[in-house]
Amino acid sequence: MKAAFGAFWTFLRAWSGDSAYEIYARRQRTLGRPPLSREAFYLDGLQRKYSGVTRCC
Amino acid sequence: MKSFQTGLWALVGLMGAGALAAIALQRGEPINGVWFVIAAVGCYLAAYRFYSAFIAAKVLALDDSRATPAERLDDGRDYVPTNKWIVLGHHFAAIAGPGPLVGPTLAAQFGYLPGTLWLIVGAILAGCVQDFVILAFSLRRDGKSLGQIAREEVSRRGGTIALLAVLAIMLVLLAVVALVVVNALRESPWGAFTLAMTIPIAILMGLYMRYVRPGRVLEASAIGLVLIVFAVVSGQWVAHSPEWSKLFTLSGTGLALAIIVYGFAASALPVWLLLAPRDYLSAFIKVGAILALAAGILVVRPTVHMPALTQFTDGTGPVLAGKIFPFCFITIACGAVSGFHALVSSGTTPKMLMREGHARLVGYGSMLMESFVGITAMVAACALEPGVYFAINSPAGIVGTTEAAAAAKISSWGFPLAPETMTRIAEQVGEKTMLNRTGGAPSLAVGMAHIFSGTIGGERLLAIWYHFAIMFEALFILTVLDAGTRVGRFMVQELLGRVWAPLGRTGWYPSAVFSSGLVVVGWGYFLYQGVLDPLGGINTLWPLFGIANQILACVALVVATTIILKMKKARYVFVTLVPMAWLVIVTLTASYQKIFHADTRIGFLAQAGALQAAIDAGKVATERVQATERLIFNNQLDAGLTALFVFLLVLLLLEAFLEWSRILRGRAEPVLHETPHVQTAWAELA
Repeated sequence: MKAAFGAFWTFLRAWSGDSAYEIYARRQRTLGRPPLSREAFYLDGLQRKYSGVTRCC
Repeated sequence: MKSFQTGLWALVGLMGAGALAAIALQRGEPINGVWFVIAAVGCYLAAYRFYSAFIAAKVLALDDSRATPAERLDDGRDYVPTNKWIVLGHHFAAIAGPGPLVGPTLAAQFGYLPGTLWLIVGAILAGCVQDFVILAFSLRRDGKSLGQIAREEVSRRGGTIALLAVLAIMLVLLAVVALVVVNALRESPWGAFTLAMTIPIAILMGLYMRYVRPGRVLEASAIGLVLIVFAVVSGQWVAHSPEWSKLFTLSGTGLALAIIVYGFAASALPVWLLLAPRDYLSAFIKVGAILALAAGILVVRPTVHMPALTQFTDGTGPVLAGKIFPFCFITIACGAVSGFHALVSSGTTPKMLMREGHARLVGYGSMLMESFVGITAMVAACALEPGVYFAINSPAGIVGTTEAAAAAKISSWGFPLAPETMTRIAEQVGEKTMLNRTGGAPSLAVGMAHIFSGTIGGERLLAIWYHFAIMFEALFILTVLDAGTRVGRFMVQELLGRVWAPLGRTGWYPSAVFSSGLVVVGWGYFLYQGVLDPLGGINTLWPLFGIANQILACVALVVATTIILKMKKARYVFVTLVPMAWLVIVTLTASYQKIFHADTRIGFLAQAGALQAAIDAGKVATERVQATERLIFNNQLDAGLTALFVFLLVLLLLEAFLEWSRILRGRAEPVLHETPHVQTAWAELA
């Protein structure tokens, strides 16, 4: 039960974008680059996301 | 074991086909809505198991040993390897908008059968195929857009045609969805208040995610959801207060102007303030409401009262004019096949897939889910008594503006309706009237409210559920409006930048404001003409939107067919060629009829001619002449726009035929613009 809830929570965070910064920061550390701040990453991500077609009719 | 599994899947398919046959052959007696669910799910599972597997293996030759863009270009930002179920959730949330809810509701005027068959068969053979193959082809091209792929694989002109088609469809799309909101909220203080409240709620969420807890989407969404529920409930107090009620009772033109101003502001304001938080809120409510509707149908098991076929298959329908062919197939675009999906399939999604094989689940699977949304909307609409359905969805110009006149007219069609029935329904849902609420959203909301209240709360909560459903539809329509206006702005800036470079700079505020203004004026004009249209606007704009959307699907399928031929898989080209040919026939027939049909409710030019003749004969009162002349111009403009769609499609087809001919005759070795094969480093996935 606990495992199922944990999996659901992980899914929900990833689906909603709540965990996007953690994934990004981890990747930057792997690449040996300093990550942006959480706020800068959030704003940058929104600019990228809403520059193209993201929602259909 | 394998043959046992195959047998089991075949059994599931047979179950779906059997349920479909039961629906198709049922005559004279009401049928339970659960049959629709069984038919759809059975057919979907079988199609996914067999047809999508065939396409994946034989046509696309998906290869899990090939590194995807998400693996090769992983930067944690644009290219992010993501679990396939999360990508499925993302992709589904992106493609499922108001279309699969509104289209089937409008097409229910033909009876439940044509729309249901088209939703299931169209999705399996056309919509899912389009989404899947475009996703796979974009995946092999580092996530390039449909326009870029068209430019590289068909011709440079093909890419420009795709860009123009997208811009044109965007303007019509935004106008028609805005009109759906206007028709749902006009003279409805409860609904208008609830929707208005979503703006400060979204701004509050935006400020929270920007300054208080950057990027904490779940926390902000939880706050937003609680406030939204409060706004829906408190709307009834506003509706009952004489002062507040007056403030939020808006006419059609008033609402249209408010939405136009809102669209401009949302496009020009920083994206974090309004657009993004609204989108987060909308995504949660959308997915939640759709799941609740599907569960509600299974719990309540509503009876479908609409007949399998109505007399309106002959083209005389009050909701939308035009015969079942071609108009049923353009009325339901999203849910069966939607060209717009090709833009999403060639956008963010291919940059997230961890292996090629996942494209099948995400591309084919999520379109099946959208088709299922269309089925639930069809059940919700057809569960209403047909008389009630037609009273809500018919414009005043056809059934009149009083309950008595509408009841008499609709009863004369063979759908009994007592005047007091409409009065009672309006009281139950907390509205002044439910007559002439064209656009599909109000009748869908009534259907959803009955299903929800049958599950929780009974009749006591009917009004709350109705306004929740209206808020849910309006909320994600406004999200489409925000995001669409912004994308349209970027497209216009790209075009203007070719004339004067500074106008192409997306970060230059004067250019952003100017371009946003142009886009808003573009869709705002069509919205305004829809509001003034004596036939309700939806009758004009929805088919136009359907034609534009299906033409975009033709563009996507033309591109896909070209690539399949270049891959030297001509024997499998039927997979995209057959749906493409069908859509070309449907859209060209519909376009021809919309321009030239002699019936004034169908043909734009006939309508313009009839209005001009009325002016010439002196039958139009002097004070109405100017408005009538504007209607004439609007009809001529709509005819011109439809002709432009056709011109773009024919031009692209000619380009493609030339390319196909070159490939098939072997005049030149076809050049595929795929990224080279790189072996995956994720051994465990290969």
